[in-house]
Amino acid sequence: MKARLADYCIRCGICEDLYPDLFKRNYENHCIDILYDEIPESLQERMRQAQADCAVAAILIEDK
Amino acid sequence: MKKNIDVDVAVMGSGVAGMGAAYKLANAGGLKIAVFEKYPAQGGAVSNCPMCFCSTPDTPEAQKSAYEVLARFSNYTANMGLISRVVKYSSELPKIVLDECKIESPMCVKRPPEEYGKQRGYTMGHANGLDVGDIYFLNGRGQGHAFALVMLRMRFMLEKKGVQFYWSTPIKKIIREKNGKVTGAIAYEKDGTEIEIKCKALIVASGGLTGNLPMMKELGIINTKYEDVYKDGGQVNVHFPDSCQDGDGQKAVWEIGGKKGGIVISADPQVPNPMVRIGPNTPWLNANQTKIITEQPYLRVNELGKRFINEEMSNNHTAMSSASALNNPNMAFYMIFDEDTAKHLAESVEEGYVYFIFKGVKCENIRGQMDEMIAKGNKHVCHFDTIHEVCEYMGINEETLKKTIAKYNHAAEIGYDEDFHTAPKYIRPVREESGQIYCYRIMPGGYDTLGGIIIDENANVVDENNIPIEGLYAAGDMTVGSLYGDAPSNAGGTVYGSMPIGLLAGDMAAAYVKGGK
Repeated sequence: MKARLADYCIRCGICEDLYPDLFKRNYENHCIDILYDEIPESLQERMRQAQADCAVAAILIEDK
Repeated sequence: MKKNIDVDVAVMGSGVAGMGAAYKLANAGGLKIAVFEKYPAQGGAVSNCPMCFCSTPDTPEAQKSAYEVLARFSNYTANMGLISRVVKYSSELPKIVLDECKIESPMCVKRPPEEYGKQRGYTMGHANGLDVGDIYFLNGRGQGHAFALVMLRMRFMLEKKGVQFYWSTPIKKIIREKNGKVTGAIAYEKDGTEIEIKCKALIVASGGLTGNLPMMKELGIINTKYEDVYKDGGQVNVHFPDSCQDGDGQKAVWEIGGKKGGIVISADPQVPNPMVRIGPNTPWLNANQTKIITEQPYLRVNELGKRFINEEMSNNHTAMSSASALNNPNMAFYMIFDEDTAKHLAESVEEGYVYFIFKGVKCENIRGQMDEMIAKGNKHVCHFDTIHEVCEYMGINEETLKKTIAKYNHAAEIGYDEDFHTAPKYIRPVREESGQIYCYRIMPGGYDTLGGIIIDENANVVDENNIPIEGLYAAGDMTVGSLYGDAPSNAGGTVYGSMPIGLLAGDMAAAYVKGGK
């Protein structure tokens, strides 16, 4: 599984607060980083939940 | 290298006020509009909070009642013409939010106009305007608040109408000609490239300055030895991490002669993090019950050990509480209760002193919750066997506090509080004999700063002589001093004030440009 953030992500940081194992705020680039290029299997369900929890549907998941 | 952009109207900021302005400009038709945003995405402070908004219906009775409440609230220091217009524009919010942005409102509390201004505690106004209309609750997406989605959908709507958005492109200077007219601005791209914006009108709507601690200190907005609280993640609500709300708009307007208004942090006082909220970004997601506990109307004192407010009014979400706290030493106050009260809270919290979503909850194991916070590094809570230990840990004047508690306990006994008139049912004695004394340090929070720029009833920025600066308009949190009175000690700028002023600014700027003055 791969995940990325749409360019319309508003950087509200809900994902960082709820899923700090997957997301971290990047102050330098004013964006949110996803901590994995390839989402480990053990975190894939959490990534799906993060997608559901996002305020603006900005988490985009690509399943292989 | 330098770039040039030529538009009819430029908007500085894409929060609720800037988007409101752009919405009206786009609907005016025939205008070239550009929105410049320092952040890489739209939003502003409102994206991280409101789940409801207040709108005054467009009936003579409702408009009159709302007008009178706001005028009285401001002690007639506001611009009375602006109040009237904002109340009128607020009636458009349901159409924009519900009909056009397609946000679902599962509940609307319709209120008779004669009841406006009479709610206390949760005025529903802490971030959504005063108690002057119908309250629309909104369904957001996922765990987010609905206004994040409102803002995004407005952006898409405006892009379809041809509005140009320039992200990561802050406006830093305003160009004012010798004849007094504003004719442009200077912005910078991420790589430092300068952009000279030529425009017939400029609308400044860049929010507050809660992302700029040095500026807040310099202006006296923050004056406390606990200033770390006001850095990212300390006081969650004070500003959202990386908010980019750095006071650029205020500085630019003041630089070209705009009148300086008072600025305050307002509303939503909080026990600082860690372990109050689950993280630095989400003020509505609690790590424990600290928020609920500290909303109860029990004894509050300042560092001098003195009471300072009727505790009935000190519900954390009210502006009154925050405004009062600002007048205390180090901007701090302390909620103190004993083990008997802790047991009382384990049975139920006080009716009317919880946010509606927490209604009926019990606060059990307060000591355990505190211990967990302390273990995670929170220095703003404590519990001890004695008042002496609490005072020593928190830095409260012990001698005065003991006198205060003696008088407070006496008031409980006789059922009358001559100092602050708190209702006897809420005066809960504080006694060491109960077994434990609990204490929380609470400091003013807020979703933004409010104020700084003064506008007239057309949302026109005025100069020090109260003369409108031609071509320059402003809206949003930075202008609500003109709506609520200077200084705007209440909350309420966020939606009720900000979006309607944005709508007004958009209409007025469109008329100005089309009128060709």
